[in-house]
Amino acid sequence: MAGLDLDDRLGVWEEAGLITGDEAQRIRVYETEAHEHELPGWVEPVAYLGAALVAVALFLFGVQVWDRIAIWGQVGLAVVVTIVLLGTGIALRRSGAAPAQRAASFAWFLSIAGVATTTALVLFDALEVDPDSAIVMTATVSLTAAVGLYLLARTSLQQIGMAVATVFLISTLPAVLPLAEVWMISIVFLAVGVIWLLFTWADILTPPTSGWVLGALFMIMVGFGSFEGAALWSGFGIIVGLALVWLSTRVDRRSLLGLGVLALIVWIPTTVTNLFEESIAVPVAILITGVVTLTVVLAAVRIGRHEAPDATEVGRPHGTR
Amino acid sequence: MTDRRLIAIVGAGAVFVATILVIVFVAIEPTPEFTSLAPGEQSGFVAYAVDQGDEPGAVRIVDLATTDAVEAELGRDGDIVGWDDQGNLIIAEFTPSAERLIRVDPTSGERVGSVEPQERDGAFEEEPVWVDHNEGNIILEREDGVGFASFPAPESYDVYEARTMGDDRIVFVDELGRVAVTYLGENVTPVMVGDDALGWWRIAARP
Repeated sequence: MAGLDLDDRLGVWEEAGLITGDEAQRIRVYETEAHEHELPGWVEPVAYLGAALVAVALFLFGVQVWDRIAIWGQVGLAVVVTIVLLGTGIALRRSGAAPAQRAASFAWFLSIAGVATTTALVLFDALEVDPDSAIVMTATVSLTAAVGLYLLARTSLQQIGMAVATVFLISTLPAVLPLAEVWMISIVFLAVGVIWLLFTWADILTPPTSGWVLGALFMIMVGFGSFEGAALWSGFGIIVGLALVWLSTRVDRRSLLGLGVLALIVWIPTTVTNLFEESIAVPVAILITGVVTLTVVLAAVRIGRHEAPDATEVGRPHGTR
Repeated sequence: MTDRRLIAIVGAGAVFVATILVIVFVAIEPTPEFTSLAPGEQSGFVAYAVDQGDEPGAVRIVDLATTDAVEAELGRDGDIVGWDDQGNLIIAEFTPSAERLIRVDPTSGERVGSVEPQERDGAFEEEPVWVDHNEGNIILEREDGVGFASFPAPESYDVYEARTMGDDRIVFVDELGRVAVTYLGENVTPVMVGDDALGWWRIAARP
């Protein structure tokens, strides 16, 4: 069917008895009207490019004069920019057009950075709060704003904003907790990833594709504890990779399969290197990674075929059965 | 609330609680505080130069047995050299034309003589200790690689220089001039023995 235009497709479906002639005509009318008011496809990227150039120019101008502005002036500017971004998002969201919705999401995504900047300026420079406390408070306020915006608009970009703010907050933990080891942060990332996937599975976090991807990315980061040299954490990274590949067969998500394979490709060589250091050659490590990855993916495909969901449930989590 | 949502929320709660428990019981190592050294727990002398900018500096000499400190004058271009066989601190004073080595009594801070040129070979400082920082730990390693000490760095603590003190002890001075003692090959909390200097140049420790 690929390559057929709408008229041809409707004709084929009508002949196959899938739709009636009346339904085909109504679809033609609907699609024609829907496309009449659409902007050409090139308008949106060009608009983003223009907006980005304006933003860069304003940023460069701001850098030049920033130090000459009094602190409360800086705070005021940050507040104004944040409000403009939030207001732009609200205004664009009222429009039903898809490009406007996307632009609104983008404006709100940027507004999280605005909230973070404003909070940081107030706490660090205006109130001169203890830096360790200030960074944690800034991250907390940013995450609160991100969650609030996500609850108002459950878009992928708002969910990504929430994830970025979560990473920011996690990265500030050493400022308030006497964490002796880097791997502590790995545990937190793993826990957040598991919770993210659970909420996605339960349709609490939507869109689901963003939820699966972000949750898996959080989990994969567990292996970063191995940068202190312990194979244990990159080993956990491999387990996470295998778990994601297995999960991809259960919930029929190719993104999970891809991220599971990514985890294997990253953490198997890291583990091999940590375990054997100089005694194993790089080609051998790559060979092991390749063989394991191939085996796992083939096994996943085989399991997927055996447990393929019904056609009516494609794309739905198996838990809905 | 659907079953899936209930399971997800309960599961998330369990993961959250488990993470907190791991953090509290496994991952958090309290940042050590330097314990004050009670008189008599250590022995020996530690000398370190107190930086006073452009003014002539001073050498602070701490008696570890009593934790008392005395000060000796140190010219602007002076330096600590080490200890002689009688336990006197040797200080070098540099002039445009020459270098003089002065003996200082560590108990009083008084100058008690000078080192003759033929004696100077035996009067030089002990081997240095490499100071390294690794993920919140301070690693002290002897230059000859014989031993090392590692311990969690106290908050805001920065070791600039460390020296061996005999075969088994290491002494170091931080950015505030605080002197601490630790042991080679052990994970021990350093014992603080002085904390009122303003700067540092170099240190010398005598068992």
